[in-house]
Amino acid sequence: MIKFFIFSVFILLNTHLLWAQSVQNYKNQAQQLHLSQKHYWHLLLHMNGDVSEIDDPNFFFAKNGATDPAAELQATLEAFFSDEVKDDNSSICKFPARYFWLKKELHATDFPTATCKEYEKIFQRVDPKSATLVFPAAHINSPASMFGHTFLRINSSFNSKLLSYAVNYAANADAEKENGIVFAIKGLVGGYYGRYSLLPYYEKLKEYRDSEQRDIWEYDLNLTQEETVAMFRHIWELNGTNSFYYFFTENCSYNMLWLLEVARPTLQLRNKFTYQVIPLETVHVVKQAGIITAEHYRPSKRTKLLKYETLLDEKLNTLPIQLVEGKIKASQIENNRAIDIDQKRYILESGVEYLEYQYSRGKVKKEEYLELFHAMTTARAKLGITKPLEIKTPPNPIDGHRAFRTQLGAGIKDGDFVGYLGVRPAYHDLEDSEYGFLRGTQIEFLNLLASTSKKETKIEEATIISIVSIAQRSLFFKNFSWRTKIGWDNDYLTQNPTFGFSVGAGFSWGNELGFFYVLGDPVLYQNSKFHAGVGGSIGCNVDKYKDFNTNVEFTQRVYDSGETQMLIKASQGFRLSQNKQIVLKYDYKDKIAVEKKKDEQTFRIMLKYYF
Amino acid sequence: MKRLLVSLAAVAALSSAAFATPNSQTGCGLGSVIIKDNSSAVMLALQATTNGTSGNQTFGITSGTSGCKKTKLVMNERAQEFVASNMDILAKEIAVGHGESLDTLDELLQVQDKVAFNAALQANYNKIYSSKSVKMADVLDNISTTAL
Repeated sequence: MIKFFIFSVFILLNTHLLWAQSVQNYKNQAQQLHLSQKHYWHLLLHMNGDVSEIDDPNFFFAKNGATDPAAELQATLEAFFSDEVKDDNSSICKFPARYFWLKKELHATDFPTATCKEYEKIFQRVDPKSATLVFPAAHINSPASMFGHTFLRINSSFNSKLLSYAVNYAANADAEKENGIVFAIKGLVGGYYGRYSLLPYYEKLKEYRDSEQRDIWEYDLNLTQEETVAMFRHIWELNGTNSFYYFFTENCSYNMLWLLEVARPTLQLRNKFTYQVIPLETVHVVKQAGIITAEHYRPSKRTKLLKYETLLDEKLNTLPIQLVEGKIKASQIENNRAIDIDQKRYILESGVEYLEYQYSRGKVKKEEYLELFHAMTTARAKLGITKPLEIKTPPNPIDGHRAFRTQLGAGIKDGDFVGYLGVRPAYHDLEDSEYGFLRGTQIEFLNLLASTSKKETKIEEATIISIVSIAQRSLFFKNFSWRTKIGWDNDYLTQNPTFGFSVGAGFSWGNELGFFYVLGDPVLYQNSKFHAGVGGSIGCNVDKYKDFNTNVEFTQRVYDSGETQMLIKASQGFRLSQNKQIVLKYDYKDKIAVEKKKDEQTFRIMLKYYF
Repeated sequence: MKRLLVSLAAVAALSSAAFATPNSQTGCGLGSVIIKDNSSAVMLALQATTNGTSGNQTFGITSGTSGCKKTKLVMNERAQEFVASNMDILAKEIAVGHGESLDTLDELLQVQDKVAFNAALQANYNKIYSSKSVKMADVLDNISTTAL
């Protein structure tokens, strides 16, 4: 018995010694091969120069792991060899990407192993075969959503993409606990941790396409199965790590780029961005890398309802809303011989879509929703099978102009020749070509325009931020339009640019040719004093033809000093290519010079270049 | 520092109001959708800075049927999970006889003749979604007895 005991201890000690020898050998080998300097190791650690972008100590084995990749590699090897547990809580199971890569690079045959049940279960469930980059486009009445969002979908063996899993990065913020302003500020300055999540694609569609009314664009990538699996291993490593979420830089889209680079280390995507990472711009960069194989479009619930608006007979088009409001019953539609069967189908189908839309906005109570949903779908089911709605695919956002704009122009202002030069880091305005963008939306950040003439060189515009959301009202949608602007402009009564703030609201209507709007904007200017005023604007925009863009706006303002002012802006844009546009502009502004009313008229031609 | 400056500039344009929140409803029946009671456009604009999470950010693939009544007849886990989370959209698509979620259900149930199957589902809609309070288990059991 004692012999056995001594023998066991002997074996145990030797194994430990062998293990200890083994790990030291590997550590030496790793050092000799300079493994910690390799690009892939830096990718796995999310190294940005000398520091890791991951702000979570749990991601590192070495105390200084975030700043010392060599120490981290040595400590990782130590961790693999000294695991006390051999299950999902082991270092081996928590860091499969590092394990796989180190084993390969060291040509190791006697690395310790572990049983990673949880990892295996989820790996089999996700079944990584290929990947798709998904871009939910802008939401009307939320121009900030124009920046969009991106996440990755990991495609499986199923034909149905709904069963694929999506990997998403977002701020771990509980909006219910925070004040709105605090929530927004914290999102901008890194006040929240960002977290990765893995959930079924159908859940993301319910969130973005149905609840948020956003069209979805999918870009299939040419990642191989091996590359997708490598990406999945690394996603597993990121499970539960905390990194600070920065809206402008280390945001949702930026972190998707890390995943793509880990999948294929030869890709260089992140280094295309310096001070801002706009989601749609990351899609552009991915396209430029040549890895997109196919593009797909999924219309939002809003797009579907707008389609039904064109199919419903004018005399019958209030019936879907009456159904949802409970004014008529579904069975009445079903039994009405005077209504054509096609119309009956459209009425019931659009009625159900509208019902869901109202319910998701909290306008219909659950009990009422269940009652109406059941009645309408039951009635529709008796009316036979039809072909799916044919919704024309709109211009792909990836074919729209890039975010950064420069402009160069020349014109005549009150008889003098004037030259113009402008720059704008982001993003899109109503005079830019609308191709690939949501109609009636504008979001600008630091729009700078300077002019020079024989008389003077001056700043024409220095907008800090401007946002416009002109949403057309229609049968199903009763949106209101609004806009806001803060910065310096030349629209005040003085000759020089003045700092001002305005916010306006109103309504808009349109059709396939274009739209018009009516807005009222209180405005506050400040030079040596404060000057308050109110403006009323009527404008219209013709956008039916993709290469032409016409904007006209008349504004009448009255200030607290009693002065009135008329402003007219007119522009005709010609889209030369994806990133080039020529615009002819006319501006009329009432100004006051030496106590006398004087109007300032400008004609100019501007060349806009985006990149 | 650069980030902070840029952030401050953006913050200058924001106004304050109480934040309307999304509240998610989970369940195995109809009407389990994310309700977003956004009372103002500004709130929507603010939401975009963080891609508001609905709080359900997990990594584990938890079964979507954990709180649901199980089907009486034998049915694969994945099909149950899918139906539980897609009750409304499946109802809509079965009622019209086509759709992606319906195709997905066909794939999960390994249906051979989809055309005939989908037609049978539509014809038996009121036996499958037999009432407004029908649950996932009922829907799948009903499908099993009427069409499979």
